[in-house]
Amino acid sequence: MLEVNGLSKEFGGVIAVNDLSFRVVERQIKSIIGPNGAGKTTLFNLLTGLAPCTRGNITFLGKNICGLKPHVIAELGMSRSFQNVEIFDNMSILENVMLGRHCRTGCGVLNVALRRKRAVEEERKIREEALRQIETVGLDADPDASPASLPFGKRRLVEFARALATSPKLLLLDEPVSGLNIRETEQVAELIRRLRSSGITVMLVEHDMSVVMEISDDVLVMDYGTKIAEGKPRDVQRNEEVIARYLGQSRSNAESTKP
Amino acid sequence: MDALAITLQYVFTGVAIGSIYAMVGLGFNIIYNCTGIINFAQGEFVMLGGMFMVTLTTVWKLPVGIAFPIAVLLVVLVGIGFERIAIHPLKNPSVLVLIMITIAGSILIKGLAMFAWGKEARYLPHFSGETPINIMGATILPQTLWVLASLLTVVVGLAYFFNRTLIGKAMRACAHNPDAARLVGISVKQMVTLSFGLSSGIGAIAGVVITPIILMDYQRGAMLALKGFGAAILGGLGSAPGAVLAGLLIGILESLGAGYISSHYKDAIALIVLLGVLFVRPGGLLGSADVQRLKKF
Amino acid sequence: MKHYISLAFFIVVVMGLPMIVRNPYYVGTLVFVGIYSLITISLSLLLGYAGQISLGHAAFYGIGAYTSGLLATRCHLSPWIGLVCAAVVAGVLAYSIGRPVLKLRGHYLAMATLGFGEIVYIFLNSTVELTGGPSGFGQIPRFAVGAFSFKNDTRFYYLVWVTVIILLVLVLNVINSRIGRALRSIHGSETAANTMGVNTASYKMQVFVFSAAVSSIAGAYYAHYVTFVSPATFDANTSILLVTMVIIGGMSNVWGAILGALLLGTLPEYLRTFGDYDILIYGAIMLIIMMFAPEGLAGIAAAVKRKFEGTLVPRAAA
Repeated sequence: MLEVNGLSKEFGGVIAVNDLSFRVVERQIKSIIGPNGAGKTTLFNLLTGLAPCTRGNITFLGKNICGLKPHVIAELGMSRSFQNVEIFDNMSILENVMLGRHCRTGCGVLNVALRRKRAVEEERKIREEALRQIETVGLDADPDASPASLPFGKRRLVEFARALATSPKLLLLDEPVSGLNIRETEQVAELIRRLRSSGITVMLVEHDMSVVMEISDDVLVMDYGTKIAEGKPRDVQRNEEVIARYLGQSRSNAESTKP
Repeated sequence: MDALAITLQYVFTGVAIGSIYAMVGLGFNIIYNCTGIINFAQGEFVMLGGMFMVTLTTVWKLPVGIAFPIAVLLVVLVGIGFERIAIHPLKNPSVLVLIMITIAGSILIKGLAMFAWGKEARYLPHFSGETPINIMGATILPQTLWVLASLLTVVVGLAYFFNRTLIGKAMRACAHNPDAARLVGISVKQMVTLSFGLSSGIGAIAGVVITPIILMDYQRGAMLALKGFGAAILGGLGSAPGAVLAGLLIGILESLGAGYISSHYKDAIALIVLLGVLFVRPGGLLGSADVQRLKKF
Repeated sequence: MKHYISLAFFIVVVMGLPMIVRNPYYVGTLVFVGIYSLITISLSLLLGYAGQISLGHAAFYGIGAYTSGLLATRCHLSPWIGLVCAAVVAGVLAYSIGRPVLKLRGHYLAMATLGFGEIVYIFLNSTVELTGGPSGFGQIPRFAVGAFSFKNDTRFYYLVWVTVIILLVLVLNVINSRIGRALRSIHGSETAANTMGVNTASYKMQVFVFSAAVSSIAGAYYAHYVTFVSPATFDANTSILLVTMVIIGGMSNVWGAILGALLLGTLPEYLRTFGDYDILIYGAIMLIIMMFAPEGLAGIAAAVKRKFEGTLVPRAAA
């Protein structure tokens, strides 16, 4: 479904992603892990078209998407969440999620300005779909309220619902459980698994090893922009280089969170 | 006069007004570096400097040497007062709010100036007479030398201030990294006030020395601000040497354009340069094309 | 649904007002409020919804007035055709400068649009043979349908305000649709909007061109109402005035845009006693609103409403 070949990104001499190649197959949960500054978020920005890649190519559903605008990539079926939750505080929760339907709907200015039947009908469908996604992520909040006053965990759910409203085939989640408490973390892990079983492929960047090891089918470890290991969670955990360069230093943390 | 002398004459005229744009551009830079704000009232400081000078010398009959610093000081007080009243109390203002507040400030200052000095253009005698000095067939007014000397003083003074004095270094630190500056005990808020004081002072100096040449009226500030902003942008926003060179360049271009093309479009030339730079190289000619910086807004 | 109740109320007030206000001078003032409202409604789409500042909209207003005025006086074209031409000219111009301009943000965008407005102003002043330069030109014919001429203030009042109502209905429909949400998302975060499939560049351009065309139509109305135009009406101060109207009313609220036009459009009448010094009061009002209520009057109203509800709800629960 997604194939990345020899992907590189330089920022004024600094190499953020270096000759990276990997594949994501359909209905897989693939996690990207690695220390801070390993280039994980940059990779997401390259995939979604927010930053142009320096070299290499990205094939999504058989189509080369390098150099395409972000909104075109979204239309192709890739959606994402952001590390620090980028939702729109100038809209209600429902409207935030309704925005996600934007690329799946097509009424033009004239249709909506004149409130043609088609536009009214479409708007009704957008609303229904948005409410459905709010339910899917399990967000209990007044959909007409502003998201500005929501606690962080719920803001994250709004963002998930918005991403899901775009009917993605591939969903990129940037640190989906950072800043969440244990219960919320479980809730999100459960949600990701449910999404996979509904046919959505998920890629996530995450630091919480217990979540990564529990839900991933495949793990890719990055450091300094390059791939240092890739494979089943179990294999990666045993990989000596990974332990030396990354897991080793966080093992104590990872173990302390387990009872 | 032969063609060369005529051109030289235009260049002299351009250098005089260009020095003013340079000083306005420097004023923009100081506030921008410290706060990220573009102060739309910058031109009003120039106008106020000229107006105070007119009153001090013609009404109060003070000699130039005494009136000059008093006029500058008064404008500095206005600048600091404006910052203290309108900008200091704000918490997390948006860019739009800051733009509108400085515009409101400029309108208010303009209104007060009209109230105090009326609508007519005010005249100020030249500081050292009006006998032109002959250079290669072209002439230069003694007042132009005053303008150039002021620009030089301002540039040298700023260089000394920012590189040699503790306060200047502190200001640079907060421009660079406000959080780190706060950690080492620099009061960023005070530095912001200081930056307004400093840049209003520079504006006032420009206003005092240029008034004998261009006359001054209450509406003059807006256009000076636009062109000074052009200088700041052309030179790369935040770069002092860039602003000075770009200011002089815009002044000369404008003067040549007025001489050889049409004086109607004199003002348009500077503005077209401004738009051109914004469209093609927002980083300016000397500044690195620092796109990230642009994205801050 | 709520919109339709407000809208119906608004239509009744607007249509009934000339029957109460009989003094032609005041009707004239309301005509100007209507002309301003056309611009502020479209500008609030650009500024409050899409979050793009323009300090050069007086230029489009002026281009509309001059295009339609010149076509009517020099080419003897019907003002109605002039009106359409004005919208097209402004739209095309906005499209051509929009590409580079709309890439800029914040202060840069403000300065670029201010500079653009100033260039148009200089142009109107300098092309003396064509436009009469600083003194402008007059004897612009009025709008007419057959023998029915919009010659008195009340007739023109209805012409302008019916246009305002039509624009208002269209804009209200748009902002409560997928396109309105797309515009607001640009204001919220351009990056997030992009990854959610919103073609931000295209929407910014569309709303910029739209607001330019509408401002130009307002300009054409001005020209055929006053029957005389000169550049001074379309200078940078007017651009700032228009943006201030939008902000004072509450920029992400179309009703606020009309309220702002009403307040600042009639303000000179209250300040008449101050003569020239109205500029002082105008500056002070602007400063105070920006400092203490940057959300504008609509924002204040919403805050009051919240507070009111906040005090009511717990009591009802108890």
